[in-house]
Amino acid sequence: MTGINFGNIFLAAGLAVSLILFVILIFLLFSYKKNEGKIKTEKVNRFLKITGWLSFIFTAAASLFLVYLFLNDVFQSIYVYNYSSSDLPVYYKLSAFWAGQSGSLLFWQLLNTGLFLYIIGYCKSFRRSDLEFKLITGLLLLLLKIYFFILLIFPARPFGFFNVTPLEGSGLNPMLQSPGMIVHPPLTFAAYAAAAVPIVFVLAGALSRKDIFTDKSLLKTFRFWTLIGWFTLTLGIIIGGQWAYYELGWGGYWDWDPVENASLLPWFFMTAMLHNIITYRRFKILKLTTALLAAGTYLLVINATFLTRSAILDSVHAFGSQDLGRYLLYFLITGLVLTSAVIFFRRRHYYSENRLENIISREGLVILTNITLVIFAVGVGFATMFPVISELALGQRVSLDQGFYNQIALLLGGLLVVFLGLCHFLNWKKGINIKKISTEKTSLTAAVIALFAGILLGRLVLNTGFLDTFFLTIIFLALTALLLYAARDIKSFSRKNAFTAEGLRKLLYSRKRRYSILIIHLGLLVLIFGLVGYSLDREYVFRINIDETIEVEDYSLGYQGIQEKTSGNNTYYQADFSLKYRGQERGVISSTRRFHPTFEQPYTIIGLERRLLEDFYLILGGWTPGESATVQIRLNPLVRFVWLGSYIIYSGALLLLIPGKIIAPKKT
Amino acid sequence: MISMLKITNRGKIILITLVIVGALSFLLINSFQESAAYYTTVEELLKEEPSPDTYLRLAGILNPESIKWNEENNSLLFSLEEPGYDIHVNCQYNNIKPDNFADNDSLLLEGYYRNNVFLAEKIMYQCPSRYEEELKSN
Repeated sequence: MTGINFGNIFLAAGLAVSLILFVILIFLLFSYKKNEGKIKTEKVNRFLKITGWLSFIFTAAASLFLVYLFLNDVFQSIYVYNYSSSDLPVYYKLSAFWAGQSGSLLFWQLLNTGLFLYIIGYCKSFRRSDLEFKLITGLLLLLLKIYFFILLIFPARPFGFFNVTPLEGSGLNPMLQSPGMIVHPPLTFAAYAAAAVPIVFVLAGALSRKDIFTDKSLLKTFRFWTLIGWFTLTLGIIIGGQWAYYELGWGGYWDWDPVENASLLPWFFMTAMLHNIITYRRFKILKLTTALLAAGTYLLVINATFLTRSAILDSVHAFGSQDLGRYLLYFLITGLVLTSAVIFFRRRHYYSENRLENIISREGLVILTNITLVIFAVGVGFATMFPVISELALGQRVSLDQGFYNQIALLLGGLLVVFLGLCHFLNWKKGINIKKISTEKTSLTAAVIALFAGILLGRLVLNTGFLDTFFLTIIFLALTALLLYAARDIKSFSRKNAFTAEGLRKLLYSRKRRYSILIIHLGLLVLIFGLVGYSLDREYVFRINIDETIEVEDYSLGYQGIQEKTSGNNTYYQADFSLKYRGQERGVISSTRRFHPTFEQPYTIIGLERRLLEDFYLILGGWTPGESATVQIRLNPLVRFVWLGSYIIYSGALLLLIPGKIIAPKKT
Repeated sequence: MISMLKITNRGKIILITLVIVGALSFLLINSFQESAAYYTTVEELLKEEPSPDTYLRLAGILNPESIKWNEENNSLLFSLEEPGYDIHVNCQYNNIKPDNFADNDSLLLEGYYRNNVFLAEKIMYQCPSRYEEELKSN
């Protein structure tokens, strides 16, 4: 390279400095313990701030260097060559940063160093806490950062260069040139970075014997970053699904692919953690469970990274690298052993102040939900790892199909839906109380309506079997319980102007937490409702001649022909079809094949006609000019509800995260 | 009078956990046969000749010159080979050609082997990001 490899210099400097700071911190820790706390808090705070800043600055500098390489089309850089080309729009050149293995790790490290800088340098609750706790937290965070620096310098090298300069890059895979792929990786890495906070707090707490749960403001910080991690992971997973549906174009949005499953596991644990924190605040129980979940979450995050980046499981997503895989496996095993040891030997530190009094109560239900979520994670994890397990145990590699996972999802998802409905009937502390949601007469009427609605939808509209209809019915029952509860709560709050803008604002402000959670639960039920449709999809392949119309269930598809278009460097072949549903005109639906000069693979853009209850999904296969075209048609019921449910979840989560001041009612 | 069994809260929780795990295990063991895909390579497939009802996951190298589209029954025909051996398996996929198809030499198919043809129900392959490994060695 004609210039200097600043990238490697910054990374090496980052590592070197972090190692030195690590030694100094250990020294500080020992001298603190020897001198019984005769170190000035201010000095320690300042020092911790410096460690935060230094690792952040070097990582940011390395990142800026990579951005510079992309923006200046420096194709001598192996990474830029692989993921960019000179005709790529600027925003894709920027998002190409995380298109590949090493760049995405650098991005994750950037988030790590930035977040950790905030926590140890500026987070008030942290800076006010005990000195030993702070020192140990600083040490653990530094360890994580050092590990990532090592990954970036040895197995995953974003700053490799060719000996000669290629004239042009190979371009960004067209599938990655979409809004979904611009945000999906950053969101997922944000979740992974945030997941470090709970585990580090738990371990540092155990080691320094500081109770992070009884420190109210520290618990708030713990909860906040768990929530951020949960929210960004939810976003990341769902946007990944949306990208698969709209861009990848195979017709579905979830495949139970090992990489997909791996990102789902920490989500289960994070969800359980959030429920536990709420329960702890009320009853001072479940500390040890929460600590274990926090540790498990981060270990599952590393596991997800390991599965994605080693080649041990067959996946359409995996970017296999045996080298990196080994580093991550060692990290995972070491992390598992050390974390278990710390929590085991200091387990008394996490014994809760209280015990569960009644299992028939909201907190009892939280425990049941935890159990279900953990079993869900274990089940999916086991099925995902089955090829490796079976190979080791029986010498024959066996993988498990959709059907297996769907059984798990049906049983455990069904339980979760029941719990989502049941939580409205249960009191904190003790007992079931139907009157919590409405009068007995209303409840019964609503339940019967929900029952009929479920059966109607399942049997008559969607034409499905007993199991799915049953599932739909329990979703409707849970929804009914939730809506009745909300209605009663709104009425009790303000009898007069409950449904005006001002009234709603007052309600959301005074009961922000309650309603955020209600909205999230509502979104979840709607999403699960949409998921039921996934097993009801149908697929057809047809060849249609020009001006011919074919009948596909209640649809009529007429082939009009192929148009050839050019735009920039791309050539498009657009196949147009007229679509009718039950005799009604739905306009023209098109599917396009795009060819790009540098990227050899063609890229198919799907055609989509959306109805509330079903999507008509069209993929162009091949065609004979002037004669016929071959298409794959997929009918996807209830997909709209998956996306709708997710938007409702996001709204609820945002409401929970924003400070109350923003929606404070105006004082008259 | 039947006296109530004195189960502690912890006992109740353990019991419920066992019930859930038990129900799940029962369901899964029953569905195992239908969901299991046995991994095999081209060489092993031709050597062992599994039964036509065994659901398989076949790994092999695609021969790009063998790709043909059968207009009669809308199916994609191609053959998979084993590196280092002069053998191949004829495959049929009753669906349109996926976008990355010809570009990926290493394929993973799921389906059944019947009448000397592998009837693929699913096609999977590694993401083209494995570029990195090849180019690094340049």
